[in-house]
Amino acid sequence: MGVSTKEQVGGTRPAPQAALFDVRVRVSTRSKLRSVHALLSAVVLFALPLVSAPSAFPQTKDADLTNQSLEDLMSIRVVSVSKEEQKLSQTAAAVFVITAEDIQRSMATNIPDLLRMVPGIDVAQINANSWAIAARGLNGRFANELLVLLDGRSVYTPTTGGVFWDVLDIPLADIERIEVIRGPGASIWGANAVNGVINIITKKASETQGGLVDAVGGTIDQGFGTAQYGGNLHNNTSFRAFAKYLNADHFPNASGAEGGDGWGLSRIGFRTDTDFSSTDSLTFEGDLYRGREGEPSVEIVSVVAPPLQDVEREVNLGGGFLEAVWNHTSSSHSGFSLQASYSEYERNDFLGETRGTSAIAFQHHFAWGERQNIIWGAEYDYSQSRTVGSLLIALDPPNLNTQLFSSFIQDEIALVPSRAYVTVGVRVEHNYYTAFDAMPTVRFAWTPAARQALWLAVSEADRTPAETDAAIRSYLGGFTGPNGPVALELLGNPQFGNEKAITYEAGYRISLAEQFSLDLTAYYNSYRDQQTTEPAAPFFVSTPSPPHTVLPFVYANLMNGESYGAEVWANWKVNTRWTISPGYALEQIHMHLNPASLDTTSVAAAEGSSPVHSAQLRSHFALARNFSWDTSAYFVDRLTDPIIPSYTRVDSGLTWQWKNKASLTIAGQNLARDRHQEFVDSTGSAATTLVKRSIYAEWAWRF
Amino acid sequence: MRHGSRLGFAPQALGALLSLAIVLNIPAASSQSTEPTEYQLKAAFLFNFAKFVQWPSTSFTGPQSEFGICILGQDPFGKSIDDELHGKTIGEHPVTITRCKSLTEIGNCHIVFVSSSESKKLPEILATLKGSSALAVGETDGFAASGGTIQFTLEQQRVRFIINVDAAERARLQISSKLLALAKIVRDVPGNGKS
Repeated sequence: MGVSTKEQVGGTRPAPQAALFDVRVRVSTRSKLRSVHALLSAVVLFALPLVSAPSAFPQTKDADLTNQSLEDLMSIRVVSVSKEEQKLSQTAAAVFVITAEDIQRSMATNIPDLLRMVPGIDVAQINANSWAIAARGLNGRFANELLVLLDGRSVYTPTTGGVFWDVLDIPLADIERIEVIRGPGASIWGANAVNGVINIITKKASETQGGLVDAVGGTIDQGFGTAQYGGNLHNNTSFRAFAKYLNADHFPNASGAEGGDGWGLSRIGFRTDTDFSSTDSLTFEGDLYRGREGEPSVEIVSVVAPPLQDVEREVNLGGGFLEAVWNHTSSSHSGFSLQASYSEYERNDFLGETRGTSAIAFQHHFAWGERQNIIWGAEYDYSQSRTVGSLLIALDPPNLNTQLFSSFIQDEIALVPSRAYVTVGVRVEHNYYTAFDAMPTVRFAWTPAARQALWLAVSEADRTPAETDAAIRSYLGGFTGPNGPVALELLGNPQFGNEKAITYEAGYRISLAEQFSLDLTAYYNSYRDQQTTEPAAPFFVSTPSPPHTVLPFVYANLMNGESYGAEVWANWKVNTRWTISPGYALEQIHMHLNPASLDTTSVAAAEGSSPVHSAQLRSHFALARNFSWDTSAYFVDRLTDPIIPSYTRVDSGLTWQWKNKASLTIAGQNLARDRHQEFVDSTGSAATTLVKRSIYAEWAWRF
Repeated sequence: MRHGSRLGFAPQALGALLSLAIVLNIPAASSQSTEPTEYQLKAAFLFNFAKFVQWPSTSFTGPQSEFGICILGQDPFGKSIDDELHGKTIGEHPVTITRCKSLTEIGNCHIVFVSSSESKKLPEILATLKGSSALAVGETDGFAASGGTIQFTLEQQRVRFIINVDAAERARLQISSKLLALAKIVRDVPGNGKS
């Protein structure tokens, strides 16, 4: 599909041309100086606490604790690692947990910006309401190797395998934690989890009691408000209900004009938790949203000419979900959960889709003998999709109902209790396109000392075909040939097979007292049967008129390759007031075509759509008098396909907290650079605009 | 037409933020008390349990014999509990802290803290403690319901505790009404292997 963008900043370096692309970005030396300036500002912001931190701070006054009364002790808030987190620290996987505290300290106002802090997750903002997010490479607007779950319900769309991040707009204050697992989570989570799983877990209703009003106003986030109330119903039920409104401004496009990508969303939602006894609990949650967004993209009005027109579409968004979860604890080491959900969305964008998905899932965990812990589960999903389609993207057939059966079993065996564990697991799925598929994993974890863990894993993960892989009809361009109009079209392949990956991982974790923790992961991925686009024999059609010859390009699985990389991050409590968290990720991807392939774009796109190096640094500084100061800096290396120069992003914010009642935050985002580009979507469905510097103020009041 | 930086005052704003931060960073008397960790807090609770529970006189060999707090299994407290309770006494009994790896070592313990690493061996542990006057404290789900005496829980990030009054009675422990008033009370679950 052709997308034409030009950015002139001086200096010229023409981009390599792919058959159907014509993307030229000129990189200037001025942008390099800006990056240096950005880095310097970041250094100053981070080094300042060193200069101003008082020299010696008294350690916790331990004696005070034992002299305090029981009532006083019971009123002290503890920031602790939850049991789940403790277990995660011994997990044989590359897990990064974004805690509620991380969310509170971050200047992010949406989930994509929160994910930037995770090494190995590539976050690139395309325009004000679209993002390209992937784990360990292969990024794109509909990057499909990442599974995203919200309280156990998957929120990716089976149409493309990707996620609509704009409508994942839940109140950040209600998030308990986000577990980000880089690497194949397919054996536990399912076939879309080839390179990662993002598991968003919301707080129980009992943790969000009372009233909360949160209002944000700023230059980009023009108006943002959440009002929430939580309370207790009779007996053992706690609830919360919220209403959230968001209105976000447009970004500028490359020529400085308004990008047409402003958007607004309204949402109402609730959650109830009922504890029937010490062994059974029932949770209900749901929400409804409605909104509109400007979607700058390209439009194709006719098969013949002129092929691509820039257009700013007004897209209506709507949807909601309802979920029920029953948790039963049979004993201290066994229990099960049963979950049922229904979710629906509609977007009248280029595809014009309405989709409703029902899912029911059961999971059971139990100890078997002295040394084994077994988890197994089964799930059934039924999804119905209706699409309208356009010349840019349509599906054939436009309406489709699909079923998914999925089951998994995992056995954790203690070779040496509390020291060494081997976990074997397998997931077996039956999906609409490729029937049965099994994804096994073997993991080994060794805890040589109480706070050290070493782990190894080998897993196979498959990406099963999404509807677009099998059914897409997308017009790419056209010209007038000797025998009349000729149209180039991308066609899905009903015989498209699974993309496979075998991943080898190793990791090491250590924490020293409460002061310092370090996590290292290295991986090697062997990819097979990756997606390519192959020219096929032309044929003649009469619709859509005028009658024309079609030069088809069909999806096939003719690319193989490997990727390897590493992720490292640390958390360092420098003193009682100052904590810094640095991170770094390396991603190297090398793909090659099967000799039978005639593809010209897939190798470059797979190798170049994510940065080789990326780094993060977060700093939290508790100042005097209830003020705290947070800064985060992110460095993202350049991309080669699309061609995007490297950039450094710096966010910083000052927060004043008054007891537990109110807080005021003034924060700036993208402070280092006024405008920069992060991604270009190759499907043409979302045009690129420039992410710009912004400032906001946030007032939160609890009562 | 290219506009200049829309927020031309941003560098100045940055400077203002920095100055503000320096100015505010004059240490105030004790406004920034450091937050205790979960286990520093729980260690203080263990001390308080000891203060508000009466053990039968037979559990002490003499008026100044040791008051033993034992940690069974993987130790989540670390150095903090030793620092906090160093030199403390319950009445006249000096507090000692012992780490036990196995059940055979918990003979002289007045409080046995059962680490979550031992959760699978819970029935065995509670059976061994039966007949003794040790106060069994744990923090795994279902600890109190299974027969443990006090179970720590976390609610809205604050430490709470559940007391199984039947278990306390079996261990011949007398729990002060003050402690009972602050706890959630449960009784034995019938048919839970109680002999």
